[in-house]
Amino acid sequence: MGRMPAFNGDARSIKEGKKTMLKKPSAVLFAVLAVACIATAGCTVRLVSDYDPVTDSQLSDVYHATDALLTRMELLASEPTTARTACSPDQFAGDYQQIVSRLRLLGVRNAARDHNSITNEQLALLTNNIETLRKLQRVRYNQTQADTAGAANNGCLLTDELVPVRRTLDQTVTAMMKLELAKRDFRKGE
Amino acid sequence: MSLDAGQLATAMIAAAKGQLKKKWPSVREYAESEARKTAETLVMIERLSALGKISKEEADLLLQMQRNSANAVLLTVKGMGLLAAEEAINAAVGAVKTVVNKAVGFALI
Repeated sequence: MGRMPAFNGDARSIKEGKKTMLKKPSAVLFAVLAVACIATAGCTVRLVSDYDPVTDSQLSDVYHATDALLTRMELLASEPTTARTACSPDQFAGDYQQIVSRLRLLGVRNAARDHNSITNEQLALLTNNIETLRKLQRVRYNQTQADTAGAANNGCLLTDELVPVRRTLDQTVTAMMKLELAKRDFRKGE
Repeated sequence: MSLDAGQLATAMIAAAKGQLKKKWPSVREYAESEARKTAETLVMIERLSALGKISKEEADLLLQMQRNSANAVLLTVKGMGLLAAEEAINAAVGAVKTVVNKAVGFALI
């Protein structure tokens, strides 16, 4: 089992002794378990859910809908003659409904899959981001005064403001797609 | 049949290490590039707020979105790490099969 360090009664040597005792037996134990595993079921360990092409495709749909929403906001922000009513949050209710309903569908599907807690957490974060964007739009619209830089406020999200919005949404969706594709690519050859 | 636990453990560790070496660079690369993007976005938000172009409430909402997206990235890094670990474990288990069959001289497993 390996030579134990000399015991002289102090806590450190007890700790060293324990470490030495544990090294070889845990490796042997793991090897025995591995043999038993292979012999009985030819098992493959799974720590993360399998790649799901439907989730992959539905994420793309969510991205398309989000991209369309942001593009619309960006066009309104870039037009100096945009009427205030064009940026009313009510004008975007349909867009948000579409995105949220796609997210719900994704949520239901992924909640049913094993070892899928990470994707489920990410879906919650993405959903929260869409809701926060909606709040942001309302906050901007309800601000009637000019901003301190002196620019008139027509109620639309600013072009500058939409840059970090797009970056964060892109980053969130990309993170989810990256993981989903990793589930496929890391396991190639299985 | 002579199966050496030490030899078996060595084969398993080598197989696991090989998998981790292959997969870990892509995980690290992703984590680093996303960290840079997060930092850039935070600077943007801070600048908009400092210039008075957005209110405090708007800045807070943008920061919340950024926090969510940073968490989503960290979850992906975690997931990719788990996938790499999974491949390492399965490679180690596969190495057991090879060593055992070689020791007994036929395909026992």
